[in-house]
Amino acid sequence: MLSVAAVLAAATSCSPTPDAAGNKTLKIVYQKTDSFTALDAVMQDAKKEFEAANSGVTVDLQPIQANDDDYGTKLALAQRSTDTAPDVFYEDTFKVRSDVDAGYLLNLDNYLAKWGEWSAFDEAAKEAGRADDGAIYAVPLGTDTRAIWYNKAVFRKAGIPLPWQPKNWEDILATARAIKAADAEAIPFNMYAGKATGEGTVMQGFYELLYGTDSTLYDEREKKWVVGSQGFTDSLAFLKTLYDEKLAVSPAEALDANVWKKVFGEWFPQGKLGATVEGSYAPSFWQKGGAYEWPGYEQDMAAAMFPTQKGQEPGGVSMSGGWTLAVGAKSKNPELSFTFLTTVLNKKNALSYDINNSQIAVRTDVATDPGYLAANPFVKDVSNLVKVTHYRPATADYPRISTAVQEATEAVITGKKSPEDAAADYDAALRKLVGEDKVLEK
Amino acid sequence: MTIRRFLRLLPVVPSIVLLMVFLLAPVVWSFYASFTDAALSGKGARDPQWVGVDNYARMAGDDSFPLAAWLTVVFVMASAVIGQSALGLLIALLMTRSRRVVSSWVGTVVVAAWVLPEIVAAFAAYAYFNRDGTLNQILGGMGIQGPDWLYSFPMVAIILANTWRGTAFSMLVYRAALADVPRDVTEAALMDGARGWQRLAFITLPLIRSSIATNLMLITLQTLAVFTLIWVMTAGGPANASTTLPVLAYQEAFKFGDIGYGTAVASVLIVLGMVFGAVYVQLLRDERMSRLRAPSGTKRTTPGTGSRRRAKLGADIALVLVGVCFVVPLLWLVLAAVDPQASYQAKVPETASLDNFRAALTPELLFRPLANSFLLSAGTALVNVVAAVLAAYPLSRYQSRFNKPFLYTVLFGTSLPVTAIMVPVYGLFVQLHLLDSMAATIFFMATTTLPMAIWMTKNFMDSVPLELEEAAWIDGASPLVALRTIVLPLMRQGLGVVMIFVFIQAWGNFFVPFILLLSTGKQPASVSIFSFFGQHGAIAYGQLAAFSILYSVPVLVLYALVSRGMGNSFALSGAMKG
Repeated sequence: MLSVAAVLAAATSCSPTPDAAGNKTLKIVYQKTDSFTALDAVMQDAKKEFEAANSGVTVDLQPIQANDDDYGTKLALAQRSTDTAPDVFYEDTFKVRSDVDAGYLLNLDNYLAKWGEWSAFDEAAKEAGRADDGAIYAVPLGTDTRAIWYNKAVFRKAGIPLPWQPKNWEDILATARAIKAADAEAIPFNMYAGKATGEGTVMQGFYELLYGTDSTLYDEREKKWVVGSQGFTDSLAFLKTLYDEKLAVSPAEALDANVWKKVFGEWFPQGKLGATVEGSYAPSFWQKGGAYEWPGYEQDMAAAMFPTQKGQEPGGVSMSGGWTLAVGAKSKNPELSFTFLTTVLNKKNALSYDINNSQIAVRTDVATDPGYLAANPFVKDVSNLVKVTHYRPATADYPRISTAVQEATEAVITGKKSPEDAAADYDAALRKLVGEDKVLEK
Repeated sequence: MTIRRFLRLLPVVPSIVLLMVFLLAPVVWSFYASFTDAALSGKGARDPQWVGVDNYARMAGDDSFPLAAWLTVVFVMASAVIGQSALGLLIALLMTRSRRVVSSWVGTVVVAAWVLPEIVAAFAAYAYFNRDGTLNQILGGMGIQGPDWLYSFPMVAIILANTWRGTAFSMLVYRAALADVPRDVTEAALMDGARGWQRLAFITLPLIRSSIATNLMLITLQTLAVFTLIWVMTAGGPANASTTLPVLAYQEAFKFGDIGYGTAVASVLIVLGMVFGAVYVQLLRDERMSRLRAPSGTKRTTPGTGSRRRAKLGADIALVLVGVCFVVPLLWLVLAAVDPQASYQAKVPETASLDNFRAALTPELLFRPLANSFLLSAGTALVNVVAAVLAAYPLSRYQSRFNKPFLYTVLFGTSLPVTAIMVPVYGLFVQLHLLDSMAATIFFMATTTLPMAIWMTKNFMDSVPLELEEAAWIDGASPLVALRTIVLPLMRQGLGVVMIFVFIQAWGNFFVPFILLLSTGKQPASVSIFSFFGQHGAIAYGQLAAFSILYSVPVLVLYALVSRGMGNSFALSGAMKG
């Protein structure tokens, strides 16, 4: 009997208890890792600011210590139940639509209409939070682009003229082979591949290739997924060449989920890595206070645009993603939650976050701030890439399709499948996932 | 009369309620959800639809499912049936003819790998099989260029790791069984001129066959449910090459958020466990129930005679070799912990220091998670002991038609692969609003070990003579008073074993709190050490090792206490034999 009573007690103790005397608590969930503390810092500031302005309200910060994948899982696990669902949370742009479908996100249209600063947000960036019904459900924290980051010292050693800007894929291979010839120990040109690096594989790798061919992943106009494309096979074949000729890391290293830490923390600073495709946020790791401080990275590193396959228009490719803040649909204090969200995203906090995390500003007043422009020597380079950037199809089934792409890259770099077979497998998986009527031969 | 009989069975109710809520309901839910498109995100999260057998049809057409099923079979056969059981039997046989000091040293080493929390054992195995790890260092010393085991031969790595971790259990069971083999039988055969292997094949093995069968069944079921070891070592990769069914179910349900498909995979695993469970119960039915009692813990000493000295030396050498193989992966933990420049190789540090420990000794990293671990484990142990004693009393003291079916059900419950029901349990916790509740997590963890606890407690209680109690009844004491004042004090050692057994299990449990406790402030050390590994593990090897040791010490001490308290480790293994 004792245990029965205790079960009941446990059940009741967990049901939401209204706080006495108007005391309210907001639960804020976001990601924090040893190499990503910028958001935590801003949240701490915003908490102080918000609590000072709203007496009787406590902000309960609950950072989740996990990588992007595990963070997504933990957030989804918490959102399923009203007791654990957060009031305000950090949400990846590509999950917005899927989570709106799930009913996790609050429609912010009415709140945004009353928020004067919303007009300061870049029009294109606002789209990140828009769902299929046309309403806005999330507000962007910042955006990013992808570039080729290269180590000038390694390039100089191989006698490659600087500054370097490849015109097509062949240029990349030629340069990589020259670096390999000059130093057999060096990793000339790395691109992520495989499931272990998750979205990193496609965002900093495969999509730079695919979107630079004449093909694409998803036809936005027809709202259909592309199958049987030559560009897809060519992109896989390019990866195969990089890995087969040992121009990239070994497949075993590529399948280590922590490989990017070695890229930023060891291989670039130690001059072992020639170049890789990485986000505009790369300097955040190396600058003072970053996870892998590297005094002098400004002199050693440079950024170049990723070229299209054969140099076709517009000459380069970049990918943009970024994260947002959203309010939980089940929040008991939506008004207060939204106010907290605006505190995190006010000009002061947004500026400090964009600088510390090397984000591309989405507030126009931050983008023109002298402090932002002087944050690191690469702000201009990576901001220019916005002109050639692409966004992921933010459909609800995107995460699964992304995994299918990652599987194709893994099969190719490990030599288990030829690029043609891996592409055929991807097509088959895609048809199964979205159905015949949602695919397009191209 | 019937009412009285019913009242007598009343103490069993708490156990029945727990088993129904936390084991039966998730199994039912699992089968139900596997026919829907329930999901963590997207439309399936808001409004799951009935999709019939779609998930099962997809399973048949999906490459990853048949592969995972096959890999599960390979993993179970190679690491449990061949690895743990055969090696355990070999060690136990060698121990009967080796020097006492050798067998006790090797026994300690083998048991150490088993008592360590699963996640720590997994880290040690990960470091050992790493490209730059100890195994390749040893091979390099012999002039062999070792492969990248976790990448090129992931199945070999996880099979060896699971053998390393689990052999102790089989060894303990077989040692207890061999100790019960009458000496005169084997000696008679010796007189008849039977050779060593003949004696083994025709006399010893047939005599311990019931122990072998029971042991095989238990380790098969345990191995079927292995998740943490594989998740830490390879995460199922590369390219699904080591994705067994529990890993597949986790990935589908939690990583891709496809609860429907994940529960379908889990349901297959549950059915598989049920089939094994049914075979297991059938096997035990053939035995007399009384033979499943905890052995008294007496050990036959083997008097060595002069003529057997040579055999002894051979056995000693073989055992020492086994011991070395078992100790090397552990060596890394100890050496890396005191080495500020630690890598994945086991090497004597140039300058030993306690810096790694100092870095791990922070409230956020260590003390709060350890306090949470303690709360969870102690709570689980308490719930178990209370529920198990109440349930065991009528089962042990009254004959009833209810006893046998209930005991078989309990036995059957021990066969349920807990990793398989995590997906439905998560769903259940969401529905009942129990997610992130310490108390509910304690009750769930307690229920998973409850079948074993009831079984052990009943066995211990059976060995308390009924006469003493009858005397108390005559003096007018009620059964519950008699239980409290006579029976419990007499079986307190046994209760200690049950409590510590459950405590150790809960302390090492990673998967359950990982899914059910979401706030950082509530997470136990097993979970915080996992996130430490994910974030710093690729860099701060020494701190990871120091952290692992600090986390393991409490269970090592407890195990040492219980095995000393019971005279030797036989009692624990014997009690668990059921």
